[in-house]
Parts: sequence; structure tokens; C-alpha cells
Amino acid sequence: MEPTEGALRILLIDDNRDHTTILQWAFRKTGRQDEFTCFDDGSRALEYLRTLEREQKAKPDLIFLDLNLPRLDGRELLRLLKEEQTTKAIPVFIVSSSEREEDVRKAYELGASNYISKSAILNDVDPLLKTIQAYRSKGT
Amino acid sequence: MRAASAAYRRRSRVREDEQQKAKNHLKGVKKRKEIEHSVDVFESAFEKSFIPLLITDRFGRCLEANESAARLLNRRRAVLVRKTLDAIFTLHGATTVGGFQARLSQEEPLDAEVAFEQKKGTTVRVRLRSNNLDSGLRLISLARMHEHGSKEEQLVKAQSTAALLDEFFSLPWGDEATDYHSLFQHSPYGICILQNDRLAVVNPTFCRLLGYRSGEDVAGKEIREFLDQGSRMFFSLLQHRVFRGEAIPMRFEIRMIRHGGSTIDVETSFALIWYRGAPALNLTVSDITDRKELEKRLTDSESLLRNVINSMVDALVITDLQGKVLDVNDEFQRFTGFTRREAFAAEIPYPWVPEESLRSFMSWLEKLREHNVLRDFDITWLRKSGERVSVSLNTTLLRNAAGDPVLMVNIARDISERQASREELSRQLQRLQVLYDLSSALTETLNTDDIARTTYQQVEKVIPVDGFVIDLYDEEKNEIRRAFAIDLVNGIRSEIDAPHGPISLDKSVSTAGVISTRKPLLQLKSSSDQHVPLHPVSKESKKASLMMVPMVSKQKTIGVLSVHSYESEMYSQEHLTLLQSIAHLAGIAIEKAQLYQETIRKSIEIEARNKELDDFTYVVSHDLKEPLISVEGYAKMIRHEYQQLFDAGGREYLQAVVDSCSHMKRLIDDLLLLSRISKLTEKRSEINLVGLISDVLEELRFSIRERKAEVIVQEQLPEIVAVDTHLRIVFRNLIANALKFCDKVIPRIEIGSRVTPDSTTLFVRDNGIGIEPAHYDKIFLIFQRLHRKDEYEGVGAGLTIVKKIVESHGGQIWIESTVGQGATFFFTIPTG
Repeated sequence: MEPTEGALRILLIDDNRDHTTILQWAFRKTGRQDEFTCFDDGSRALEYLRTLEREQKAKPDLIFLDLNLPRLDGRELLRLLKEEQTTKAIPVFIVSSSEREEDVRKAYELGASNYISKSAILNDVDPLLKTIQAYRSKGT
Repeated sequence: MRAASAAYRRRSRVREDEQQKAKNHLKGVKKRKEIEHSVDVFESAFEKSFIPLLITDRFGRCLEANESAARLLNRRRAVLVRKTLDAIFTLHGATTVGGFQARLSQEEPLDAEVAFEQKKGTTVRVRLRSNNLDSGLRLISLARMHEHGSKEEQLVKAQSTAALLDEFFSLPWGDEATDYHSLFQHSPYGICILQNDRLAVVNPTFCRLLGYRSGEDVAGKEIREFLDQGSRMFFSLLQHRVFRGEAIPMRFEIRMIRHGGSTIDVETSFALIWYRGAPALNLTVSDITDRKELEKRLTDSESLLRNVINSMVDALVITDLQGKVLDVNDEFQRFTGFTRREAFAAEIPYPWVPEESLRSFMSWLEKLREHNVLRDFDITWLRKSGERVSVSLNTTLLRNAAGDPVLMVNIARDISERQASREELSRQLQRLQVLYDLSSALTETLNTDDIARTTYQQVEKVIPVDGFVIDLYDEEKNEIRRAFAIDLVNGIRSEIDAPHGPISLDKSVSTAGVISTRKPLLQLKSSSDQHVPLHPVSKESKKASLMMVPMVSKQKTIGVLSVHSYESEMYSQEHLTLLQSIAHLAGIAIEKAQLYQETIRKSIEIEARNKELDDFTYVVSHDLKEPLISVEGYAKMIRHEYQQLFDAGGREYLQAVVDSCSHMKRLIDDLLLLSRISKLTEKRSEINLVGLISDVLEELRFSIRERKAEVIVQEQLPEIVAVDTHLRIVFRNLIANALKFCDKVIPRIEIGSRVTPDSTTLFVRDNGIGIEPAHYDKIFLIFQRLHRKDEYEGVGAGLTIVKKIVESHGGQIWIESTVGQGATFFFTIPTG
């Protein structure tokens, strides 16, 4: 597949590997060539981001973060990402199977850029892509 | 009598000469005495005659005039005497020759019409007749000629006068007395001359009074025969006094016996006279039967009044206006102990009004002057014995016929008993008040401690207590728990800390007895019965008086209320009854409090369980969702990536997996929604229903367009307060249902509202298939379907969610439906 214009480096943090697989497929089947880096636990993801910073490597354009994660919970990770100068600029989209209002509210409070229901993405990824597009054009 | 003799003396002086001359005519003493007596009799006859009479000498010089004459001639008698007739009268007629002197000197009696001047300018005509008395004097009678009267009338009058005089003159005892005789005959008084105690002469009136026809029937009879037994002694006594020249009453009353034996009361006067040469009594009697009757009645009514006064159950004091006692009745004497004699003439301060009552008594009397009658003044009186008694005083001011106050009548009623029953009544009232206060105070609390304390506070008002205990009974464990206790501590009633933990009942004999029998216990002195000790180290003396009553409610023994006193004989059956009433109220209140506490505990428990259930539902549905997303995702991947590897059957099965996944996802979403509705975190706000409904219709526009449905929304809808997102779910579900369960070509949906002060009722009406009444409740149960899935799709949680949302707002939902014609879903959202 040809890399499409606007391909993104996406950091995907979800302990459900089925979900990471399906999510990546959902993106891919639209013809996009985004680069996914996946972690199934929050602390490793954080470690990875810090390594990138130390080695002066390019950071991801976007982070997809699940809320329920082992070791370092998604909410805690979100708080840390938004606290660190080096990562706070990276948009974090919460991707969760929970549609609980308090989860959504909490995520936005902690600095999430968006909150996406997993089942919604599975049905139709287009709205998410549009959101990302909108976000990027606004950010740049 | 006296007047008569005075007149006689006066007259004697006036005509001294003539009398002397007359005396000269007398022959012997007998004759003289006869005349003297006749003159005496004549005296009254002359004086009292209604005929105007004058006595003149033969020359027409007036010697005497009676009252009638003086009245007619309008001159005083003293003026008339010594005047000649010529000076008084003018003779009329042509036949008149000379003056009266000439006419009178003739032996023929004069009968002429004369005139005199009665007043200045008023001439009156009279007929004048003269009769010669044998003493040479002339008796002149006058008869008025009525100017307006007929001649016949005048004639009759003249004739009757002449006849009267003729009769008078025909008397056998001398001409001088003939005038008297006429009067004697016609007197309205009964006249009788008594001589030697026998009736010598009587007049017709006398006869009539005694019921006889004529004087002949009685003449010569003894007066005794005509005197009532009771009057004889008195009569003869007076008779003797008269003959002895002693003073007697001018008039007196005797009772006489009439013909036939009946009696008659008469008033009598005596005069001593000479009759036929012997002393006699001139007896004048007048009928006083009427007066007697009146007097009798008066006496009767007076004694009646006295009897009435004495038979009164109230004490009566009659005083003058200064308060000086004039009379008291028997009851007064009995009640106060003061005799009538002691009370009589007593003045304020009365000995029966104690010092402390005096001031109010005086101001009471003061008020009387304005009010005439004063009622129901409660005052204390002092008996002679020194005892104080309560009386209610009613005082009346009596006035005479002219309206002037004359007497004060005080009526005092003994109200000691009333006072006592009043006290009893007020005691009963206080008890009722206590019960009422208790029942109203008890409605205000659902706390057992407060109930016990309130009960104690009310009991203490009406029952003497040193101690008060409420023990609560646990039927299951057969234990009691002391809820509240009051006892004397160093002589002061104090609240005692209830012992910790329950007390096994078999240790407490009397309490156990009261609980098992549900009968109260009344003990009036120390007993060896065991009681639950008030406090472990009680050094108190034993309770002497004790009452224990069960607190029973709905056949359940709730506990025992007991009060005690360290004095013996403190309680009566009445106290026990009262305490039972109080215990009954307290029992009900405690049971209510217990039920309330039970309810509170249960509702907290239920709430906790609900929360647990909701949390469980949430966790389960969330955890179910995760693998479902994987299954759906993979199924979609396979269908997309490996489509060419499947035949038609394989692709169909794969599609079934995807469909099942989305159905299951909807189920889980609904469950999640349901579990979230009960959470109270959702904020309510004022909602513009018109806007909200048009949003929902916009969401459903594809379905509406597809079904060609007609949706009518009421133009004006009220604002309500609700959770916005939830209310959207309600309308979305109801409208979607209306579209779904419709077999008509054009579904018609109507949305409207009705507002009441308490709530807003909203409705969604359709013309769909309708719902059978048997299913009205069933459709709200979760995952209940009335139809096969292939008939109407859906998971069957929609109405359950709707119902839960409405109920979480405090509202209700219900259905009205006709099968085949449609259904209306009503739901209420409370105002505010």
C-alpha cells in the first residue's frame, strides 16, 4: 500500500491486544498508512516516550489511550503526559469501551483532546478520522 | 261621735236663746231628755243629709245650715248662720207679699220658688219648702231647679222631697227628730238603737245586712243572738265602757250572725243616746265583707310569701338600702348558724362576711346601684362556727311602685359542693389535657428516648411519682431493655443511665407477670416481689406504692411502663386507669418509632443493595462489552479481508455473527443506561419541551420519513424541570415505539401535555396496534417482548428505561389503549 498523505505516527496504548489489532485494521482498511506503535501497559509507554525525548527522536503525532490499563492506569498516565513539558503538546485521544459520563468528564478534565467509544470506531472510523483531520489543521 | 258632740256644743252656743225658749216649752225632765236624745240623733241626720237643709227661727233668721246647703249656696256655714232668708234668697212670683218673715210667720208651710246668687252673675233657682217644728223653729229644705230639666222632672224631684219630709214629720217622737228619721230610713249604714241589750229600733239597711225583711223580725231581740261567738265578749266589754263613760275605739270590727246562720263582718261605731227616757246605744254598722276578704287575701299572700321564703334552699337576707338587715329566712339560719334575732338589724360588716371578702362584697353592692340585679358572685361566708363556706350571691334591688329602690334582697347559694365538683372537673380536664398533650407531643417524635421522656413529663403532672421506668420488651428473645428510668437520687428525681444490654426476663418477676398477663399491677405498700433493680448499687428504700402497666399495641406487648413512690397508699384505681391510657399512647408511639427505625434501616439497606446491583450491572456490562467488541471487530475483519474464501452460506453466517454482536451491544448499552439512571449525579434543569421534542424528532427523521408518519406536537408546552438527557431518552423511546408498533399506512403520533398544580402530565399517543390491558404492566419489564423478534425488532429494554427515568424524577407512567386503534403513554413529571 502506498503511504498516504498525512500519515501519522500514532502511539496506541491498550492492554487488549485484540482491540489494538482491530483498531489498526480499521485505520488501514481506509487506505491510510499511519504508523502505529503499541503498548499494553502505561508505564512502558511512558518509558518509551521518555526514551524518545532522551534520544532526540521524533515523538508521536497522536496518542490513543485506553483508560483501564495494568500497572499505570490510563487516567494517571494522561495526567503525567499532560504534566510533562515534553509530552503535553501531543494530543491524547481516549479510546475506551466505557461510555460512562463521569469517565468522559474526567478524561477531558485531565487534558484529553477527545474521547472515542471503541464500538463507535468499529462501526465507522470515518468520524474519528475527520476529527483527527480537524484537530491537525487546527493545531498547525 | 266626737265630731257630732262638738257640733252639738257649737250649735248650742249659737242658738242659746232659742234653745232656752225651746226648753221653756218642755214639760218635765222626761220630755227634755227625749229632746236631747232626739237632737243628738238629729245631729248626724241633719249633718249628713244629701238634701240641703237650713234651720231658721220663725222670722226667717238662719240658725243652722248643713253641708249640702252650704255647698249649694256656695257660702260657708258660719256666713249663712244669722243671715235672714231675705238676705239670701229672692222670692219669685206675683203672689209674693212681703218678705220671708211675713210668709214664715204664718202657720202654713211655705212652698215657693226662690232664687239666689250662687256666684257673681250666676243666679240659681231652687224650690224652698219650710216645715214648722213644734219648737217654733222652721226646717227649710231646698231643691235645685234644673234649668235644662223638664217640668216633669222638676215636679218629681219636688214631690219626692215633699214625700221624704212628710215621712220624716210623721215620726211619733217629736217633730224635731223627723229629719233624722228620714235619714235613718235611707242611710247606707245599718243603724240600730239598743236598749237593755235588745234591738229597739232598726233601719232597713240594718235588716238587710242581717238578712231580714223588716225591723219587726228583729225588734225586741237580744243583740247577743246576732253576734258571733267571738265578738260577744268584745262587744259587751265595749258596751260597758261606753256606759261607764270610758273611751272606746271610734270604730271596731265585729262578726254578726245573719238570718240563716251565715256570718257577716261589720265595722261598728257606738254612740250613747237617750231613747224614750232611758240610755241607749246608737249602733251604726257597715258591711266590711269585701274589705275583710281583701285583708284575708293579703294575710294569706303574706304568709304564703313567708312560707316560700322559708322553704327556699338558698339563704335569703333582706336589707334596707344601707344594708341593715330587715329579715332572713330559715335556710339562712340553718346555713350560717346565725339566728334571725342575731341577724336582725345587723349592719355591714356582717358577722357572716369574713374580712377577706368584705372589700369584694362592698364593690359588689356598689355595682348594684347601676344594675338592679347582680348574679353569681362567688364569695366566702363565715359560719357562726367559724367555718368558711363558698356561696354564690345573687342580689336584687327591689323598687316600690314609684320606681324608687327600697330593699336589697340577697340570695346566697351554698356552692361548696359545686366548688368540689369543679375541682374534680378541673382535675379531669387536666388529665385529658395531659393525654392530649402527650398524644400530640408523641406525634412529633420518632425517637424512643424522646417518647419516654415526653411520657414522663406528662405523667409527672398528674400522678405523684418518685420514679418512672419504661422497659421495652423483645418478644423473640424474651428480654427486656430498659429504655428510660427516673428515680430519686439524694432525694431529687433524676434520670438514671439505663443498664447496658438486655435484661433476661425471668429475673424480673413482676415485669414478667405484667408482660405475660398484659394486666396492670397496683401495689400500695412494700412487697417482697422482685423488681428489676433501678441501678445496680441501689441503696434506696423499697418502693412502697407501685403501678406497672403493659404497653400493648396491636396485640403485641411492646413493654412495661411503671411508676413508683416511696410512700405507701399513693395510688388509686383512677391513677391506674390514667396510667394505662398514657401507656397505651406511649406504646403506640414507641411501636411507630420502632417501625420507623426499621423502615429507615430497610430503606438504607435497599439503597445499598440497589447501588451494589447497579455497580454490578455496570461492571458486568462493561466487561461483557470488551470481548464483544473483539468478536465484532474480528468478524468485520474476516468479512472484509477474507470474503472471497467464503461461499454464500459462509458469508451469511458471518453476517449473523456481526448482527448478533450489534444486538448484544444494544442490550449491554441499555443495561448500562438503566444502571446509570438511578444514580443521583444527574443534574436537573429547566427544560424547553418544544425544543427538546423537535431535537428528538430530528434524530428520528429518517424513520419518520420512511414510515410517512404524521407527528402532531402541541404548540405550547410547559417548562418542566428534569434531567435533559434522560427526558430525551423517554421521548425517543416512546416516539420510536409508536413508529415501530404501527400497522396503519400512515402512523399518526400526537404529543401533548396537561398541567396540574402538582405536576405536568405528558403524553405520546399513537394509532398503532395497541396493547391489551393484561400487558399494561408487562411491557415495562426488562427484556419482555410481546412479539416475535422478526415481527418487531428491538431488545425490549426501552420502556423499562422510560419507566425508570420517569420514576427517578418522582413521576408515574401509565397506558391507555384500545387494541387495534392505538395506545397513549402518559407520564408525569412533578413540578419543581
